[in-house]
Amino acid sequence: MRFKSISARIIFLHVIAVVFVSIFMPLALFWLLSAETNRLHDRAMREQADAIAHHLVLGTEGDWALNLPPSLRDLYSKAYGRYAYSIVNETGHVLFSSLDENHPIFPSDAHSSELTFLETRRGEDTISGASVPKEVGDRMLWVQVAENLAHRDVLTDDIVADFFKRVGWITLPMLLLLLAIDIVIFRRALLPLLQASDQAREISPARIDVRLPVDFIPTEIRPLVSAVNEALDRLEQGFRVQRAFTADAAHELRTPLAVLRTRLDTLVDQRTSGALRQDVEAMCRVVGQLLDVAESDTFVVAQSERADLHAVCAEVAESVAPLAIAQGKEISVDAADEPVWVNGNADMLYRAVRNLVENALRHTPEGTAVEVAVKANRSVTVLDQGPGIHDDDREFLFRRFWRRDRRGAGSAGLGLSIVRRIAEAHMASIIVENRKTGGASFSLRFPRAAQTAVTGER
Amino acid sequence: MSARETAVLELLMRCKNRAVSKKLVEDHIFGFSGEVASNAVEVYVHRLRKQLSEQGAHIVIHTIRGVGYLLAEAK
Repeated sequence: MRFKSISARIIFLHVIAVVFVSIFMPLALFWLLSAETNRLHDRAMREQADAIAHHLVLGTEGDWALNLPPSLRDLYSKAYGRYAYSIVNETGHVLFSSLDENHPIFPSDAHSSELTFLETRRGEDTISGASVPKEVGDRMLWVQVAENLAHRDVLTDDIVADFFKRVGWITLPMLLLLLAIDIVIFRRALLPLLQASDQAREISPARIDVRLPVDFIPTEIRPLVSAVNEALDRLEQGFRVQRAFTADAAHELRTPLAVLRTRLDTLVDQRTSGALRQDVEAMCRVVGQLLDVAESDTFVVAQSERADLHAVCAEVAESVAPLAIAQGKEISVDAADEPVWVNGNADMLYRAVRNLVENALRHTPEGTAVEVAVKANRSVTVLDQGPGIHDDDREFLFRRFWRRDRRGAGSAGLGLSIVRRIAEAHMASIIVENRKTGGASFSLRFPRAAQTAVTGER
Repeated sequence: MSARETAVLELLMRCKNRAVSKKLVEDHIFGFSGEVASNAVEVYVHRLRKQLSEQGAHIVIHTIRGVGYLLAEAK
């Protein structure tokens, strides 16, 4: 069976182990207990044989006498029926016996020179005992003592026979408890991994410097975490090189473009130079946007940074206004007089709003207006009166280098991707809607600033 | 044309083709001291526009709502 989860696998194996142990542990205990009972039995038999032998007396005419004290006689009485003895001589003749019969308890193999433990059957019952050789004077006798196991001690009987019912069951709950404890221990041991996962979730192109914490990771898993961190190091390096290239390339392109622009000014043919200048302006814009892309990619908002959305939007409108007027379009800012503070970087927010406004200006027809609305709930909405957003285009809108109309000059399709990147860095959401009156509406909604009491900044 | 109207026009012409915030216009004509009626600048701009069109000038003062004014050549 294959498990995706380590805990599931461990619990499964543990359950198997629990089942296995809960079967075999009682069996083992039962066996040990039986062995111990038998050992005690054997010892008792030997001691009893010694005790009987102690009372054997060899008379002067070579006749034997057995003078058992009353306590012992009771022990071997037929009324009690549990123990029996018989004393046998070399010829196998029974000299004394607690039984009526005149043959030994253990008829065969009774003449060993050493102590032997023997077992025989008498009717339904099992008779178990010992045969002990005794040398009295120069004569050898064998004292046989036996216990009828059918009459075994009630206590021993109970312990052994009812072992499973009385004692054996305890193993199962104990093992289940152990299993539960193990699960808890295991979960706790995995906790640092879950924390590391949370940390890993924060790693994105914008936060490539985050690494997984190694300190609290169990040593078994640490090599994996370290390897992941090292892989991230290499990725970060590659990432930085690529970013630096974008930024450097954009930067390097600026100077030749500026030179080109000034040279165009010196051209005599005004018509050609005007057209060329437009192309150069478009290129400058793309290069500027590439720089914005490179910068916004690595940008992270500092906790303490505050920006006034109202001021940002007014600044954008101010700088875009000449372009709008030149195109026969209008721009307006709709806001209350109060500043609207958010946790953010004013320069980056300026770029985001500016890109939104430029995008809106491109799509709003001549004679209409682009409106920038700033609300106290920390939102900026840029409204145009263009054709609106086609449903099929929604998913592509924020992609780099995506343009609805690929022939459109002056736009590289980078603006909205910059907007999205900056919004992400500010944890702002972007809402794209079509207005009921026609045209599109792009909203940036910012989360509440961590500290509300911000005054006198900017 | 009053001195203040001239001052407004002068500022806007100096910043031709650039948006001039309303605040800047106020500061320019009233200095930083006085109490300013909230619509004073609007009134001057309105009068200026009227005179410019009467004179047949080739410049237009655009209102950038929420921001300020922008003086540009008429199309």
